[in-house]
Amino acid sequence: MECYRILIQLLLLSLAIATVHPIYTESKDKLISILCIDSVGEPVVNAIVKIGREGEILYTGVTNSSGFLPKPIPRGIYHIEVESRNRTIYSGMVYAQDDIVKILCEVYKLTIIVNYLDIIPIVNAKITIIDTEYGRIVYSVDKLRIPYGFYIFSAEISTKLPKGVYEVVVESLNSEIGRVALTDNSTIRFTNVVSLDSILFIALLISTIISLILFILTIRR
Amino acid sequence: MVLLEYEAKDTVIHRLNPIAKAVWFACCTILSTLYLEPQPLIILAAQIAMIGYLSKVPWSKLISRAWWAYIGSLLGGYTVSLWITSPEQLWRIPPEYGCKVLLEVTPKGTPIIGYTAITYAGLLWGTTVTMKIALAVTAACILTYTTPISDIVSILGRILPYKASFIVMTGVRFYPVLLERIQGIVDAARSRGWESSYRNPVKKVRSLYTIVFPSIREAILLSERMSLSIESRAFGVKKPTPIKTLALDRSDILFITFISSFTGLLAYMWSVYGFGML
Amino acid sequence: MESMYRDYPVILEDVSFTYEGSDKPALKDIDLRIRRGEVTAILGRTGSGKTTLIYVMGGVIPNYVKGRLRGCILVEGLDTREHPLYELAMHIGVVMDDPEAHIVSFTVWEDAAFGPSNLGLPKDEVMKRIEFALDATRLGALRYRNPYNLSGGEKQSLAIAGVLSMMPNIIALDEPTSMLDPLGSMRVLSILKDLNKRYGITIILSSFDAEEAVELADRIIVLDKGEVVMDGDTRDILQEADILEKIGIRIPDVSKLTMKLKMDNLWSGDIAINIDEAFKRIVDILRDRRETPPRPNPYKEIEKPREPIVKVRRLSHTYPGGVKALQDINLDIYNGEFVALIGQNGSGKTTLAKYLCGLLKPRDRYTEIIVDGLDLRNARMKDIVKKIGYVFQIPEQQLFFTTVKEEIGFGLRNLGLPEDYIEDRVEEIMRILELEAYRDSVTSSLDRGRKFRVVLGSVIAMDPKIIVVDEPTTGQDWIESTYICRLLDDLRRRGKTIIMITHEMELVARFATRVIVMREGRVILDGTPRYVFSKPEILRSTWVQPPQITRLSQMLSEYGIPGDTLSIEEMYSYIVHMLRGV
Repeated sequence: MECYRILIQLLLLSLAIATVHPIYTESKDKLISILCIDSVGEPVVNAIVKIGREGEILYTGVTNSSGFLPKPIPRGIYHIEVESRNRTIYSGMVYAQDDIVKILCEVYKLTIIVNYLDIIPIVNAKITIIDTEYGRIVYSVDKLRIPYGFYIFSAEISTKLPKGVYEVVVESLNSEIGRVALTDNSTIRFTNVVSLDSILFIALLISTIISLILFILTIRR
Repeated sequence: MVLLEYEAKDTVIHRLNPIAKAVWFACCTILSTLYLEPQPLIILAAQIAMIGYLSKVPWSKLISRAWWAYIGSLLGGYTVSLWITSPEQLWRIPPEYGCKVLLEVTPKGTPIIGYTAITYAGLLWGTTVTMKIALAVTAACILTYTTPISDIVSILGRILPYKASFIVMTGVRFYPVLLERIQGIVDAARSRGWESSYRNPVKKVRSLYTIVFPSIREAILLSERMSLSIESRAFGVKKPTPIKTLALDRSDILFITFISSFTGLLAYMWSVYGFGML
Repeated sequence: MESMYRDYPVILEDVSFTYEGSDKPALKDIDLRIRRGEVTAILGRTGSGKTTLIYVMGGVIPNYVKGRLRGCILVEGLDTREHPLYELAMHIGVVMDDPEAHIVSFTVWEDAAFGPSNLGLPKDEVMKRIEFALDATRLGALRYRNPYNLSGGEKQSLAIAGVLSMMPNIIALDEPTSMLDPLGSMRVLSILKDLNKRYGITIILSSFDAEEAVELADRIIVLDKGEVVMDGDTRDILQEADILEKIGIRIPDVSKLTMKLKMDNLWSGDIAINIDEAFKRIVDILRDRRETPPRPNPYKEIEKPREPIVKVRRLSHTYPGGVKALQDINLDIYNGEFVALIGQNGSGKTTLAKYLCGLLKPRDRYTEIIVDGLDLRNARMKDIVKKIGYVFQIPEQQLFFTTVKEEIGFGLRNLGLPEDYIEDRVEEIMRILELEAYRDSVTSSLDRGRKFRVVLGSVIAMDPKIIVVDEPTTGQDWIESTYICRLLDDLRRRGKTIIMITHEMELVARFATRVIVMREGRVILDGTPRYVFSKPEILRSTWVQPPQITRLSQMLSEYGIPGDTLSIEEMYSYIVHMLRGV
């Protein structure tokens, strides 16, 4: 009796091992693609993806420009960790069953709007985003832009960053610093930055208005 | 060629110095050239309309004279806009928005013409071209309506060398005289049964040849006599004494300041913010 | 030497000139001295050398017009060959017959300023000269006007002002009134008189018309074929009226009349040179009159056929800008009439003529223009020109081909007629107009009179029933003018209807069977010449004067001379009848 019991346990154990071991999960006609997407549904590019099981890294890859991991994996349950800009943007168990597995990463869109007094767009300003945890500059740009639109008159720049706390520095003739804890798509506004273009714009605007008023007053006399 | 002749009136704009009006016209021309989108041109149109209102321009007369420019620019602009179909032609507008095809006109691979369609960006561009030309023509009409031709020419005299501005002045001065004489030649030819209303272009050109010879002769005779007259009046001997002073008063200076600031502002927005770039 | 220039600012010694490319000298051995402060009239036929002489005096020849110039020409002591035109212009100003070519600016005052400002003079000096020039030519009130909108006389005055602002002491004018209407001519002559009397400016002017010279000139120089044939005091020259007539110069009617009376020993002493002289002397003569001459019926008219050949109803025309050129014209013209259309410039004569010839089309549906049965409203030009032909004022603007033969055939070719018919017809026309010797001549090389004949030939070659002629005597000497009118009269006798627009009242009196007077777009008088010229008060409102002989008869009407006398012969016969009862 004891013999049979041992045999059955051995059989069950073998079956268990077989189901999780890659060798048994590797099936040539059922491979799954991994797609990393951010909070707005756009691909996460150049993210490091580690696929593992029980603490063992089975595969490491970098997502391409479409957000896909170049090498598909066999069907199964895996532990997937996605890292971008030195931050883990996803970590969790994934059952790779469908043709494409979408990994929703914690990458959020940060929009920085710089308008002096909330009216005059500041285009020529340096924007620097610092990752406060690591003290590293994760994004830097010298110029903002005004998005296309009939009524849009606002200077902004957008970037996608992993969840975290960041410091945004805007520098022009003066500078302003803002902090943002990025846990969702966010917008940060700066309304006290002054640039040379804004001064010129204001000067032209004032000149136009005053000269028009004076002209009207002169001709009415 | 003057579309709207000068009429002596006592309006604010008529009283302005011709230099101020010339600056205004130059600014309107610059602004109408810059933009590729209609929004800033709407602002310019409002400014031109204001100036036109102040000068009491007879709008119906202006339209009746300049309608050909408006229609021509409309047809030309929208026709060319049919070829605005690819993202490389756009600057600011997102391609998925600008290149959205509203109506395909000719499919890809059409010989000679190629692919043409009505796109959103094309419609904007066509509207812009129409507005550019229409605004420039309207501004020119308002200028000639409010400024005697002698004043316009005297401004040219400040920009161009004297002899060059004199040539322009003489051309403008003698244009109606020569036109009258050529009309006389045409009438004389018609009264001998001559006609030029042929459909056949070869016949038409051959018939026009008949009046070319006497017209040229008349122009030469007139210019010969005129050159004798100006030579005997010391033309080109010395730098002429300026007799017409175009002194600017306060309202002229304020007007020039307003127009220059307005133009500067819009041009600045174009340059720095890309305002009006398609 | 200096005193000579002081007294004689213009001296010509043994001057001859031949134009480049020509064999015939335009001037031959001219010796002249123009006295300071004098008004000198240079008379002569077309081609006699008047314009050339003016150009030589003014330095235009040789500085601007090239040719072979011989002799000595001094203007204020300056040899015209050694000084540029603008320098000479400060001593002698030259005014051409076409004022349009003189005017270069957009306002009257700017044009007057052109010369002095080109000299680089100080602004004050320039402004002073402008004021002087505008004042002297009575253009002060028009200083801001566009010259394009001035009348002919005003334009010519502006041309004079432009020259005057260079402050010359001498002004030479080439046929200054030839392109002007009577009002314009009067204005210009009055200004010239003023310039001479008030400012002491020496005036030299060329003309066809001795009557003009009489009004203005102290001295007359007569040219014929480039030579001076007569030179002297105005009165003395006009005493040789018969010689002047032979040369081809038009002499005043009163001079012709008194010359005739003198030949019959009814006149003693000098012949009259103006109307006042003639009047005074004739009044003296008529004190011994015996009988009252019979008075003709002023209303005798040619019997008109029933149907007019030209019918105009309710014709009006307004130019852009609101100027009413024609106001409700209703007119009938009958076959065989010689109609003279007279009136001041701007009265609507040319506009009416253009409507009659189909160059303007009626827009109003009530307007009717029927020419020889053809309704002009929708008629093609090719059909219209077979009915009515139009000869414009300036022949040069109507010459389309190089040779006379080609030119005369122009209209016929446009009608698509066969070539052999065209050749025969052209020959016939050349015969009628005495142009056979000029068959292959270059049209532009002909004198003005022949050019006009070529243009007329081109029109009559198409054989229209009606011929409209617009001021055919402009720029023509008297012989040519009379020849043209005789030609037209001859055509009338051959069955044509003639409509002539003119300012020459003597020709109207002589040739016209009917006179239509227009003013401000309306017909104000319509009748025989005798009838029309008997209404001087109405004519005065249109600045039209009856012929000199008619005016004299009106002055003599209380002495028994009928006030509607049209010709010298009539006047002569009345005087003779009154004195001799014959």
